[in-house]
Amino acid sequence: MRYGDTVRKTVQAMLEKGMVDEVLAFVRGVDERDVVPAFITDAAEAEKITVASYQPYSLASILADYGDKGKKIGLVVRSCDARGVIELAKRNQVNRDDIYLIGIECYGTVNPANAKEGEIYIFHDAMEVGGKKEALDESLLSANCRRCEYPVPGMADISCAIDGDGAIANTPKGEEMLAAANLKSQGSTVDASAMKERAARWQDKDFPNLGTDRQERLDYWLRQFDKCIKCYGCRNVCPLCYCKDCALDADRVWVERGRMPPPRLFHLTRLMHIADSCLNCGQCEAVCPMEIPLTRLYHQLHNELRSIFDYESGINIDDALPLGTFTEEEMKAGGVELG
Amino acid sequence: MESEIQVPATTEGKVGAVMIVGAGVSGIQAALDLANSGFKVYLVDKDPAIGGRMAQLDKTFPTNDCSMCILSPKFIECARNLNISILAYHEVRKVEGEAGNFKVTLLKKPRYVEEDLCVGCGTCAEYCPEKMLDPYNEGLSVIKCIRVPFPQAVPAVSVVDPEVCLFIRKRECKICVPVCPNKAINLYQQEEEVEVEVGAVILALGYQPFDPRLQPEYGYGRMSNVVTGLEFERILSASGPFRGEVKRPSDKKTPKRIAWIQCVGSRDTTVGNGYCSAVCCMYAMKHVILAKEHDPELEATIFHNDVRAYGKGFERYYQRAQDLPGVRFIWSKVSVVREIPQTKNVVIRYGVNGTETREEEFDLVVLSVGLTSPPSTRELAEKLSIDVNSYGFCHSDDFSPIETSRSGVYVCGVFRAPMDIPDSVTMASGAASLSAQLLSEKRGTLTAEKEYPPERDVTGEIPRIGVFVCRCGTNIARVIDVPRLVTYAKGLDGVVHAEENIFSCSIDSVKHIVETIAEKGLNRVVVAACTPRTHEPVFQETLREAGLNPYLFEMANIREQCSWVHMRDRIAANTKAQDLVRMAVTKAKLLKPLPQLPVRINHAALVIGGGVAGMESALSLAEQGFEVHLVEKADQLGGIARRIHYIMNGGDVQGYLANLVSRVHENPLIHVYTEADILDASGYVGDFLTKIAAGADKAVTEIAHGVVIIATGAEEFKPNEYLYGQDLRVLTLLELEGEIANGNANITSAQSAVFIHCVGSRDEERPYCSRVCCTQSITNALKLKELNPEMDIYLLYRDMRTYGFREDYYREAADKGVKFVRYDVDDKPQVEAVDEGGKSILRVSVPDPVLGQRLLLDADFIALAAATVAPQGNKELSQLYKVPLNEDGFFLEAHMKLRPVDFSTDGVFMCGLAHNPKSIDESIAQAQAAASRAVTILSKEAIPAGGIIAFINKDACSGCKLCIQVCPYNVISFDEQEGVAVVSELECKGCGNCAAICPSGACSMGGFEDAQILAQIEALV
Amino acid sequence: MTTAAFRPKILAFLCNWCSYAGADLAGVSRIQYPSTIRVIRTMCSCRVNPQFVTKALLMGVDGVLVLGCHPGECHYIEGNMYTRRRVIALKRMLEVLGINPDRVRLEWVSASEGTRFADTVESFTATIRQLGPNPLRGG
Repeated sequence: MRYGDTVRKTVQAMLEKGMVDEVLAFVRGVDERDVVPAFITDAAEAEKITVASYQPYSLASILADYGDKGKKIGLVVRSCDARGVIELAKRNQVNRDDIYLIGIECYGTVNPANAKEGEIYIFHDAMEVGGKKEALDESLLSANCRRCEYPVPGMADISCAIDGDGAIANTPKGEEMLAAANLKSQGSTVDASAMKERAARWQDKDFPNLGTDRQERLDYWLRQFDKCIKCYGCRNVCPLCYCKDCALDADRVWVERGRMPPPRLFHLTRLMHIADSCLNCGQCEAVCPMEIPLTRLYHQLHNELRSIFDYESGINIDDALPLGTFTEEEMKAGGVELG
Repeated sequence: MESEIQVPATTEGKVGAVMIVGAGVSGIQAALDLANSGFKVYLVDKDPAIGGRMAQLDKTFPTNDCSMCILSPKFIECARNLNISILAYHEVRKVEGEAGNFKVTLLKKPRYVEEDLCVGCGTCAEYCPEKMLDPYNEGLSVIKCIRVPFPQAVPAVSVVDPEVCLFIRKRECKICVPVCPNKAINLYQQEEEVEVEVGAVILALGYQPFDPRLQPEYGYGRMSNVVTGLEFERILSASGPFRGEVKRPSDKKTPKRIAWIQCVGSRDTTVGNGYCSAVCCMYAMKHVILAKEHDPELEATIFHNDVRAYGKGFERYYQRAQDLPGVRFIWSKVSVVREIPQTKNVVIRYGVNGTETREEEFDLVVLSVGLTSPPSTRELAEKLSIDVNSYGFCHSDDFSPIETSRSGVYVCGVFRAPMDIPDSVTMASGAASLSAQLLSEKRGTLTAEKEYPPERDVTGEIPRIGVFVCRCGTNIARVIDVPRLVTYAKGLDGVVHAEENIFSCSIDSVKHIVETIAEKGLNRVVVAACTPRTHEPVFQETLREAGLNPYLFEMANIREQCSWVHMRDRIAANTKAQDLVRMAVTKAKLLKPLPQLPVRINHAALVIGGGVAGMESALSLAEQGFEVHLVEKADQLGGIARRIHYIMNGGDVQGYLANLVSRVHENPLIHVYTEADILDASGYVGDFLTKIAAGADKAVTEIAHGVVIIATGAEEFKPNEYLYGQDLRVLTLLELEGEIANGNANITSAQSAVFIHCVGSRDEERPYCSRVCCTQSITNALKLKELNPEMDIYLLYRDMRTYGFREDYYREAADKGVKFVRYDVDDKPQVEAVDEGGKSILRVSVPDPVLGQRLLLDADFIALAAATVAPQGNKELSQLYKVPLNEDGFFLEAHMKLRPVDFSTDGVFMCGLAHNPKSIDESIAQAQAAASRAVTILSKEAIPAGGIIAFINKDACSGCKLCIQVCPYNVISFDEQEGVAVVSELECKGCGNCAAICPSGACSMGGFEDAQILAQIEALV
Repeated sequence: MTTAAFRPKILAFLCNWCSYAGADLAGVSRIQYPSTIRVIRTMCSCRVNPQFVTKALLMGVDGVLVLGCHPGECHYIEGNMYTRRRVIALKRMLEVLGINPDRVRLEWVSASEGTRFADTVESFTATIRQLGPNPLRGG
């Protein structure tokens, strides 16, 4: 039994039965520390799918950019990608009806740069490196993953355990998918409270305490921004940056061309554009050649906005973007704050 | 000039032209309404320039808007309107013919200047050696005998005073003739007769301020520091004799103690003026507030006989004046005792507490002189066979307040009765409506469309910006160093021309701007002046005349938002002015032409409210040939008028109402819906859709219409004091009228009655005056006296607000023995039911300020003059049609002075009690006004839209639909084929929400593009 | 820079129908208020992209006022409802970033509230004076 058998089995069945035209998933790359995204159309290829704990791209992003419109597509996703698909669907960039989300539980991923020899799998209280189980070293995990509150992809059509054949159908579509693979929907073994505790602990650690030391915070972020070489990596990998014509491009009006480091508005525009929905997927930070801890900034602001607007991104496709809606009660409230 | 006055070939029947006699604010309003709804207009004035009295005012109450600033755009509108011929300096000789076809003979007075040659440059005045007292400044300054009457004058043409001119008097001097660059001066000019054929005539003759020399006891003319209200108005004005510094005539020093004496020449039968002039209390308060702004240390004292702050927003204005430190309102008659020879100060004697008298010295005394109808007006009325009342004002019936005794001749403004500007403007629109009703089949027969030169395509041109900095007389120049600002503007990138103007909006400046655009090849224009909210349209029009798209224009507001608000910090104000100009220029560089698209007009109207106002406006529209949907929430028409039985002139309200209701029902163009609720409304000017449920079965109907008139009326307040609701003998005025009309003997045979005023009005909860109750109390008191002359009637009042000719009834009531007791709001009357000799009596106690003790009055019944309150439903309507309410729940007009029945939302109008409490005649006039304003839209096939609307760049649109989600009007749709959002250009209202949420900037807002706003921000730092 | 010498530079976004009219009314009424503000007029407060405000702060403007119609009175029905959420989000962003969110203020000012407009400028200027120059000034 390999890790991720449930996933592979499902994908294979779905392709065989023609439920989907293709499946986007990570397959093994050049070595054990490498995974690459691939569209799989042949059921036999499902074998190549890996659930090793690397996440070097956002599959949601790849789906939006390369997925064939009108085709039924399956996606093997962690929570962050599942949520990304839902956010993109809200923005009319993908059609949720055509997408089958095959979720895998995820307790964190490792930046390949930090990876050790051999494949790595992360579990909620342990890890396996090169086939050897050991105690979980949290410092190995990507920073965003340590803060993640969504180990189980409950927003995907099904969520599969990495280990064993545990799988849960979260939607009617998910039930069809499990049925196709002859799998039974059964509960997860994840200790959600432990994961929440870990997320809270790391968020506390990573997020500066607001309301104090503003100057220090500002100095820090300005220093970070000023490292920028405007490679647009963060924008390019961000699953929420869907614009086909980006306002931050050099021929547009927002960011003066030819300045280095770019005007700070570059970063603050991105921050405001995505903060209401940031998925904490970590791609922007991972890709940044200058190691600007962007995800930390976006994630912190997102958490703030999440509580103000009572909006959880990437969960329910019917929840309108908080900055593109208001409530009837607000119409009656006279003040400049909510509530 | 001859050629301009085209005598139309005699057509069969009526003539589609109207003559308006008197070009003050009301004449101007009537002219614009008519010219904009398909009629040729001749606007005649005896003075050499239009504008009337309002042009002389400094500010206007209760908003303190600068009078000239709001009026002068109207001058320009008139001057530019192809369908208005301005016949200034003309007098009416005779009017022959009948309604629909009049021949008017005018006398064209010699200006001694050829109107078509003179450009008003003023060179002649520079050379002219003869000075005269300046009539525009009420003789407080001097001016040359040849001059343009005032800076903003329209026509901007010089005029010679023949009684002063040396040549005309003695054949001595002709210096002006050769110096005139245009050879425009002709000192041999003679008067000539001009004949004009029109279908209707509107008399907007205005007034003459009372001449206080007729009451020598006030010292006017003998004491140099006694001035009239109008003179003080000029003293306050920035364009006045002292350039806006408050000085007194004798020594040009700043007065520290000023007294205002009210009712000079008003409410005074000894000078033949028994009426109240209706505006003096308010203008005196305005004087106080403005003078205190000039000098916060000023001590201001107003001697009055009741403060009549009865109009919309007036009571709050009164409060504001009262709350200023150093301001006293003293209720007392006064006499001017003497002038102190050394100081020229004036001593006034007045009464205190009714018994003792006191003398006090003032530096300046302002006589709040009334409005009179001068002999010349009476003579003209006689020539035209128009009946006037005993005071020389036009006679008209309460139920047809705008009609004179001669058919086809209408009246508006103060010639009808003393009234303020909004009432005059309202009546003017009403007069336009009646004229249009008379001539509706001739609409469009004599009018021409304005044609603009083709728009020059400026795409690809390098910005060539012209900056015009307005001095606004001294309004701007007093604080801002205008020449320096011009120099500064010249140095800005993209600016190829900059200059200053005394008034950038004056007709000659505007003409000059058009010429400059051509001469300098300008493709963008910036005007640094006042607020774009009033003046942007004027200058946009200027650009069109110069062949530029009107949106290649930007304004810098250096007056309302700079010179007027930073008067005490010139350096900062100048820096700010530079910043504002720089921001405007920077934006201007990026401006793009915006296309305009015509919106087709649906010619039906929706009138909401089937009371007097709603019905009158519906009829007015129907009689002009427009279909009307009249919606009433009750099960029958009539509104609150169904409860009114008596009005001051003895008119038969119920008879009138019954007739009105049947006229409405009989009119085939009016569809009446009773028991109707408005469920939903959508659309915009020209194309509204309103869904109603009407009738007992609540059948749902969708009504398509081009305009809306809101006439939802008002209600009588249910009092919560004076035993109302506990004792049946305590009634409201409307209840009392009902009882009198029903012949209730308990009322009509009562021995004594007490009326209590201001119940629910003028208090903390409703700090406004309900306007009608004083008059209505007196009307009822008189009715009771007529039925039962022995009845003891007491009126307990705070200020008796019987404005205008209502004062006559106040006097009559006093003459007939009605007792008036003034009470103070802090010590209100007390009412109790007491048993005496087995009989229950209503006992009212009220402090008597004259006797200084409490007066006990036993009453058989008590009538409460309850407030008029706005209905709750207004709130919902205000949201449905996107129009605002004021603090008191009444609808709020677009402009308190000059747009009294319009909303700022196009195509929505109001009339009647929905606007504010008012009497029936006022409601009727306003209803006709609303119809007139509505017809300026309904009479057109299409009106231009577009301009500031959203635009989506298809190539950049990612199809995320966020714009669709946030559009408040749901006017963005999704093109599935192309996968992009598409804006409905006709429906977009230009809020910019879509542009703000579009992350890629594919959606942009015309005139407010990202790049333009970012440029403004960059320019600021 | 000492507080005394500090002349705050404030940008104000005013909607055409309410707050700009309110500012005009303050002018017509000659209500004197600090000369610290520079106004950009938009048709509705909802036109104000939060990035405009951010841009201004990054340019060194010391404070930004966004004024709109009172809730329920928006000329565009509900534009101001979006403005409210956007400004709240923006202020939160500033806090996270380390810029005092008090440098941005949203207020409702109607066309009849000339005094309220002047008072708003007065009190906001006082706030900005207290906060001192924008730390991003000149940076």
